[in-house]
Amino acid sequence: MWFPVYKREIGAYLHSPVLYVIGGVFLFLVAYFSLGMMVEFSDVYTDFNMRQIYGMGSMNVTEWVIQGFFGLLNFLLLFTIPLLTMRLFAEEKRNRTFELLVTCPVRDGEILAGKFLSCMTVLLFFLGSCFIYPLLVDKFSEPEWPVIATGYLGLFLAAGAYLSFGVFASSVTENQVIAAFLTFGGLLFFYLVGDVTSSREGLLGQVSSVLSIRQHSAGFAKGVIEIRDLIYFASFIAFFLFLSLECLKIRRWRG
Amino acid sequence: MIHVREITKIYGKTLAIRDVSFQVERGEILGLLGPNGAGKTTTIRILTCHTPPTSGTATVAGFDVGTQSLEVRRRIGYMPETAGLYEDMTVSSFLNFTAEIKGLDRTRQKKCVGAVLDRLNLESVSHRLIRNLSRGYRQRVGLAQALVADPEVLILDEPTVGLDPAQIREIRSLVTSMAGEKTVILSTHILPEVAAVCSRIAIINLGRIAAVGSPGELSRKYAPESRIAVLADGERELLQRALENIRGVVRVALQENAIRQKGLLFHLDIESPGDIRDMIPATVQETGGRLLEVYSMGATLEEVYMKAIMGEKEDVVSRLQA
Repeated sequence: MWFPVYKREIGAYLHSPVLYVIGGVFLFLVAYFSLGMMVEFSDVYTDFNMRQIYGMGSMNVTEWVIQGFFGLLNFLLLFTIPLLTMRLFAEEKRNRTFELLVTCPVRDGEILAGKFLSCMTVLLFFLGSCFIYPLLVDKFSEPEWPVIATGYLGLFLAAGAYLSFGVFASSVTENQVIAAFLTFGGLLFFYLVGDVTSSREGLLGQVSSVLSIRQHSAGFAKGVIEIRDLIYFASFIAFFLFLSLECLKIRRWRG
Repeated sequence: MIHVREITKIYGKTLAIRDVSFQVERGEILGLLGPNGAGKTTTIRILTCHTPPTSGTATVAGFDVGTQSLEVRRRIGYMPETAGLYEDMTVSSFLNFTAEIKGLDRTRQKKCVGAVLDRLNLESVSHRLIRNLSRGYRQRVGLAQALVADPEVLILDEPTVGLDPAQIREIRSLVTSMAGEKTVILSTHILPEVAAVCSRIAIINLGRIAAVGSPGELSRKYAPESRIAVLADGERELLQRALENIRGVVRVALQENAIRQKGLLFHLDIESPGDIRDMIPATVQETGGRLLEVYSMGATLEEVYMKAIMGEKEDVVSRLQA
């Protein structure tokens, strides 16, 4: 029964100008900075003096461009996803369509799955259309394809994690602005927490480096798949989807 | 079909409804009548599995709303008070979505959506966005989504609020046409609505059921005096005195403001259940007047309602004093 919900959500995205604005800006930023990185790489690569200045005897397109590309996408998702997830539950609650939905014979989990997967589909399109840049790099250079593959895997996992947090934020409020800002703030926290405090010794440092999304994504962009990173993302997604489901249930119990 | 046993709902510290019990038999149309804020919507939300009761049980078609909520929801078509609709969908895509989510397969879905569009005269707007529809059409779309899966039980929360008289009639006749076929609960604070469509009435006030019964039972219970209208032509005072002298007549009131072409309209309140209409022609003739019409009015629902509600208030006051 999740499929009708999924279908409706996809329709709602496609009928709203929000998706096209977000998509347009996202793709513009990806294009500008990806192409910029490629141009910069080729400038530096062809100029021996610059290579000396940058301290690189041998330059690697994978390290230079591909890693940067994945870092860029990951960073842009931080801003994009809150805007995609904010409406999922908040809008339905505000418009009172939620009452209709929960009195239909459909489980809370199915509603959640439909909504989560619809947003994931939208992101698949966003990230899929960015695939043109690795192809472009491949045309002029020789990037390492396994790294691109793991990089994309990491990207989807990160997107799933951001989404699950966004879905959760949208399920606690009926105000879309609050949902978006909660998501943005929360994601920024998980993104940066390792950078600030992981160098500290003791428990705080350890915990913050365990929580850091950025540190767990870094491996994928280098072509490394580590079990603990996979576990991290899987449990992050599961945890926030579980919280969202509980929020829906609390509403049932409190009315 | 629907059994509600002593359900109580408390929101935080606010008592919404207390010990509400009633039953609705298959094919019956029950009017849930009460002033605004009496607990109608809370009762309905419990029956539609939107909110669980704090205590008590309710079953629909033998399924418990708490433990077998999916089964209950499969059998209910629900139209919320202010039907929230997906503004960005067209009428037909919205109805297809609700049909699908209610578990209809593709062929039945097509058939049911077609049937409900036809039944509610929505075909002409089926390709328009819900956002652009007028109030009357939106209300009909709300009703259509409740009906689309052909549910056994239909629950309508204030279905005619905000509609014009012609639209109200339309909705009422639609509901009346379902008598016997579907079990219907209709909540409203509009008395004529209940009188027009319901076979049984539950009056709810201050979160409690004040009275349940058929309109006839309720008027016998709460307004045992009945009323006869007499339209006659003749000498006003003579007529009035003659009518007052009939045995069993408690009060005779001349209706000054009634709209009529000729004659004088009297309302006679009579005390016993006996019928005195036989005696009226002779009485009027004795005064030299001419009798135009006689009919029994019964007690109006409004009187029943006010008495039931006032009784409830007195009850609460006396309980508080005790």
